Amino acid sequence: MELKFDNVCKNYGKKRALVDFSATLTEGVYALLGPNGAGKSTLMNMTADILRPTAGTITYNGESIYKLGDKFRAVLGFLPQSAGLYNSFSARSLLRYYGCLKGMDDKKAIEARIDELLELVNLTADASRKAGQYSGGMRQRLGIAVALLNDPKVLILDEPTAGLDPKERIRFRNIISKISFDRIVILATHIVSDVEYIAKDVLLLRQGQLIRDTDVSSLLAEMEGKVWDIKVLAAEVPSFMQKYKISNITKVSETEEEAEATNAENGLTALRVLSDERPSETATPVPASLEDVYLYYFGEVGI
Amino acid sequence: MKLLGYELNKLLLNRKMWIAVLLLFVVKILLLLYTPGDGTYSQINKSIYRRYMEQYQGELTAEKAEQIEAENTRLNETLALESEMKEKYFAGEIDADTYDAYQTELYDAQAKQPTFEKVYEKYQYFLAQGDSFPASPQFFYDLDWDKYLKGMFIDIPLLLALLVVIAPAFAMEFSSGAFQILLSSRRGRGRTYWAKVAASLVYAVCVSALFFGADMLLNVQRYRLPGWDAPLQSIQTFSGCPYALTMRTYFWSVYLYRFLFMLGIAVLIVTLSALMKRMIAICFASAFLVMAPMALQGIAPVFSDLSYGVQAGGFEAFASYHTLSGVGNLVISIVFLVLLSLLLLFWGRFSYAPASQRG
Ligand SMILES: Nc1ncnc2c1ncn2[C@@H]1O[C@H](COP(=O)(O)OP(=O)(O)OP(=O)(O)O)[C@@H](O)[C@H]1O
Ligand SMILES: [Mg+2]
Repeated sequence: MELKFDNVCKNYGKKRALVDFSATLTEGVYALLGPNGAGKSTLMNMTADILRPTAGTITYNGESIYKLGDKFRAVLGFLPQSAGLYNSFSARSLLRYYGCLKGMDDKKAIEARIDELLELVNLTADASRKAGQYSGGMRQRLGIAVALLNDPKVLILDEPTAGLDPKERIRFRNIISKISFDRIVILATHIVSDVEYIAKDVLLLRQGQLIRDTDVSSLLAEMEGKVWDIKVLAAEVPSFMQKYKISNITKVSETEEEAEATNAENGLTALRVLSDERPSETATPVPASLEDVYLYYFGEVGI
Repeated sequence: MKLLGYELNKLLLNRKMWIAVLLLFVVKILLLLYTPGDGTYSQINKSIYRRYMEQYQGELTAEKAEQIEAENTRLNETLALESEMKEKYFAGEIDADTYDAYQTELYDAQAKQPTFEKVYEKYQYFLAQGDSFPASPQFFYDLDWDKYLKGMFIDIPLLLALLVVIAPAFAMEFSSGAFQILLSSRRGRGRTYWAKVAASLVYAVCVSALFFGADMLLNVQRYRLPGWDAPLQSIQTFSGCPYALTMRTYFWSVYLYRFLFMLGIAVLIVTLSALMKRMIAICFASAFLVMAPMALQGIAPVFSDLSYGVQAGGFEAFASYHTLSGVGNLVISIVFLVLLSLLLLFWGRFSYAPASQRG
């Protein structure tokens, strides 16, 4: 199974939303990371044939997905960034409708699948409530169930965890990691920790350009010696922020020695600094997380 | 088939829409009950006309022709004698009783003459057409028929009832953001398109049947409509009709035509919905497409052939002043309507989801 992007471009008028995007995806989870407006949704909508590329081709097992048409749609599951659900349908009848729409005609099979999915996204108890009465997170989970309904080979999820509470995010992460071994999952998100442990590859997009396409461990390896922990006086924090990308700030509960070294009003603050060089004598290198990678590429000094 | 059910569901589940349709139906009933009567036949006395028509009821026979000619002579002579009789009376040549009798007759003639003129006109129309009619025309009280048929116009409340329900068919998918999932599903394109069209037509059939049913029932009660079995050509307006239709057949074909026309409008609205994808644009476009030809007609009568506002009323069919009446514009209109609808439907289909992505 192979989904291949070949110099895919998309322009909205003069605006270049995606520039020469090339990548070859096989089974596994691909995390699409990038700031707002980077072109993630544009890429996903083109993969779902909602939009057509200005140039370039997208092929599935060697055939253009646009030529494949319904054959491709039969193996596709798509959760758009802002999916609309029919408010007057209950979750169950909504899933039945989408089952019909996705060409699942075996009544027993579809009912069983619906039960399974409702359980999976934890909506069994609310299955007969109208979608219009759902909370944001519940709607999102229902959207995920819809995307998974036809057991797709290519699963495209545009910010699937937006609005999910931490417990549901973990549940979602587990679902995806469980099912991803035999399908292509493309997942766009701003919550980097969602994909840190499940992504096979990370695609970093900036202003429509693919700037990195590699696996998580090599991304992390590259960051070796670029993430530092420093403890500084609270008064020094602003000057550090002016100079470096800071990925985290925490107040330190002081040890006795440190308390002696500083005076009481001026407590110590721990900074997680991203820098190619050691920012100060006292800085100690620490292992990077994917969030550090994100900030390293997309963060700005002084924020 | 199942998709059709779901599409109907989507189309009709909205409660606000039901209320709107119900209100429109009430408006329609009120319009039927309270449209202003008469006015158009001011010089004709309805009851006198009716009495003449009842007297001559049926085909024109030699005997009836004689009666009509005699009545014409009687009325004209009585009227012509007025000044002469007056002079004679004042000159003492006739007595008061004779003059009184004459005056009674005169008043009667004065009252009847303008109305009889219409009867006589009709008689001459029958004579002039002679054998060229496909069936022999009949006398019957036709004033209400004329009024009824001429009063037909595109059913605005029905048009709106179609618009509020059908226009969102595709537009709501785009406004609610549901279209992305729809378009990325296997049956979300071709089949869904046709299911939506079918659902719109199912609704259009039901709501048109309701509106036209009410229209028919109330009008048949409101008007005096004898002569159901008389040939259509009995009414002068339809002298051009080449077929042997009875008033009854005509009545039903007019309603059938209006009904089909409304289905055509439903097709127009649903395709506009697929083409434009936005409610406001669809409403404006529909209103424009319906109103524009009527406005054109105001500029030059030639455009009346294009005016489906009037066409949809159904009255145009076979009317003698219509350019196509000779071949029966009813048939032509229907063929045209069907072809146009099919064209629109395929256009909408490919605009909704391009051809290479057939489903
Ligand atoms: N329909 C459109 N017309 C014009 N420009 C658009 C359109 N859709 C997106 N864009 C532009 O294309 C660029 C990429 O947008 P896109 O929605 O793909 O970003 P994204 O990475 O999904 O962002 P986000 O994280 O906010 O979802 C943006 O600059 C956006 O303004
Ligand atoms: Mg997006």
